[in-house]
Amino acid sequence: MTDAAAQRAVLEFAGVSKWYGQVSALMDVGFRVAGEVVGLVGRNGAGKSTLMKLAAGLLRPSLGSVHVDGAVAGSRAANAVLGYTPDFDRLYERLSGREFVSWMLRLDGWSGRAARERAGEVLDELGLGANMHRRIREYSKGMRQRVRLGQALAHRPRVLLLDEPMTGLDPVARHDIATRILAFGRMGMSVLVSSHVLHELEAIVDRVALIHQGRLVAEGKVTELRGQLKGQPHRVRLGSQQPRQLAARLVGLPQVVAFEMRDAALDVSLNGQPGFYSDLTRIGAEVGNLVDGVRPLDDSLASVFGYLVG
Amino acid sequence: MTVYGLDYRPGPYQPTTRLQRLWPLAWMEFRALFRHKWGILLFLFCIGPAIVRLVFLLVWLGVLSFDGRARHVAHDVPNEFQGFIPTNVGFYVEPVVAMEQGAFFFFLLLSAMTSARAIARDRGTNALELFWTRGISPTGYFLGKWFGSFLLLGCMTIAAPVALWAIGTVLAEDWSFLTDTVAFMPRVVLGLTVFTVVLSGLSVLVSASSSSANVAMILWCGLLAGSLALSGAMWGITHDDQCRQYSVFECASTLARACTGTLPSYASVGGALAELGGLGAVLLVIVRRRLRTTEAIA
Repeated sequence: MTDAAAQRAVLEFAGVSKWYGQVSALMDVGFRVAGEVVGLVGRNGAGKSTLMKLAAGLLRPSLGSVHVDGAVAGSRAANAVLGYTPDFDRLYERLSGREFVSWMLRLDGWSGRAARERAGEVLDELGLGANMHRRIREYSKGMRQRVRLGQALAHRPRVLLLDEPMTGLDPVARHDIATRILAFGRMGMSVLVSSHVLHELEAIVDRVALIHQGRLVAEGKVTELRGQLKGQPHRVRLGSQQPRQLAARLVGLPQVVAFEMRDAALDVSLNGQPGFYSDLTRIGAEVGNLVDGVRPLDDSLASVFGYLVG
Repeated sequence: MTVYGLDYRPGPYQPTTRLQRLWPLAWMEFRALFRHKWGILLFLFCIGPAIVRLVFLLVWLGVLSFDGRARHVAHDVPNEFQGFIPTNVGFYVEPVVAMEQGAFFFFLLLSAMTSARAIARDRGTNALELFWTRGISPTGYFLGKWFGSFLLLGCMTIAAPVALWAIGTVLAEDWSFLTDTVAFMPRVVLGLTVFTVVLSGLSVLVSASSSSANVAMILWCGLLAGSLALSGAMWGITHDDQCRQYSVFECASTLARACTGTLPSYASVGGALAELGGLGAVLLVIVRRRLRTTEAIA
């Protein structure tokens, strides 16, 4: 086992249910995050934040258990390896970014000097080096997100919970944060991240956990999940300078359900029966230059999400 | 791909003492007021009575002479102003606890702007979630905030009178000032500490039971001023001095005066303890529920 693998901390939900009085927020949710980035996807009120809070130990499950690196979530041992970024950005406005992160470390038991040094180090690495001494109230949304991330990372956690880390950011800042999250996963951290920006989430996660009305609807790699959705037609875009001719050749194939003509392309809906791509290769060989390219249209996380929860 | 060099080796897990975690919390609460110029001005305004006393002390000691007339006046004060003589207990206690000398107003102002907002402000910004994941328990968090508020209010209620006494001791011409005052000063410190602990505790409890900082300020002002108005109204009807003690501020004053040995004949320590204890218990029940994390669900 490599050092990195040995250091992997596992976040594990086992049969977790949560009720608020008569209302069920989560029902029998179970999955684990082990040295990877897992995206938590669901609509508002689906139970994502409840799941995050359970992992952070802020709530106790009504049934089941949540463990962080083998320790019960919320225990001191669990908190020691956990970094949490909640979904708000109103921090201590009168503190500087460095003071805030340093203070959070002191609450973890770090000495004043070590906390200041580490806070400066982590904010510098997150690209806030030049602005770490400015007051938080003067920060932009992106800078606040970096401070939030900094306080979660400063004590070198092995499990990271990121609740909507890209909300409200401009595209450049979103890309930057997304790249960093991707890097965390590559380093062996166990990262659970929730976001509404599905296409960006898809680019950084190894797997997704899809929550709907408090239930875990699906969990796994996006492509695997799409492959298992047999009842839903697949859609592919075939690049072609002669889309009408291409449609005429495809119309007899048993896998083809529908066409949609475009300027230099043809969108094809497939029923999932095997053999379409070999037939397409055959047609391409027969006619020549009829197909410029093939691009799946609904293998995305957004499509899977749409198919599963309607 | 850039890996940013964040070096995520696991931090060594070393259990730390509760005090190590509480102190940063208390220190941050203490310093919060002084991070803004208006906060510093507010603090200076609220220790105004102590500054007035300092001038009186300097006159009494002869440091400020005003052609020699002022000291003569300071040493020949009428009986009803005995509290202005620096060798009396009242010189140190009354500016803090006596309603008649404006102590209520200054205490209300400073506590409403600081300790009454301490926890409600964090709830309003959802910062409580961060604290709970930092190994701070709700009880520890409350104690940290209480201690920080105590330190801040204590600057006005304890440190200022003690500083007056220390200045008097240093500037006096001989040891007589020290020998006249040293016997009661420990009781003064004890009484003012009890006063500050009780009222800072209640204000932080009010803060912890409120949904936002502004609501907490209003509730705290309502509690202090409302109980004062109620006791005043009842005194107006019954002319019974005991009615004055229905005021929360007066209850804490009673405890302070009991410690310093200046308790008025009408005041009842048991009654003050019962009222403050009952109020504290009710607030504590509310706070136990309010300091939990809950999640809004659709």
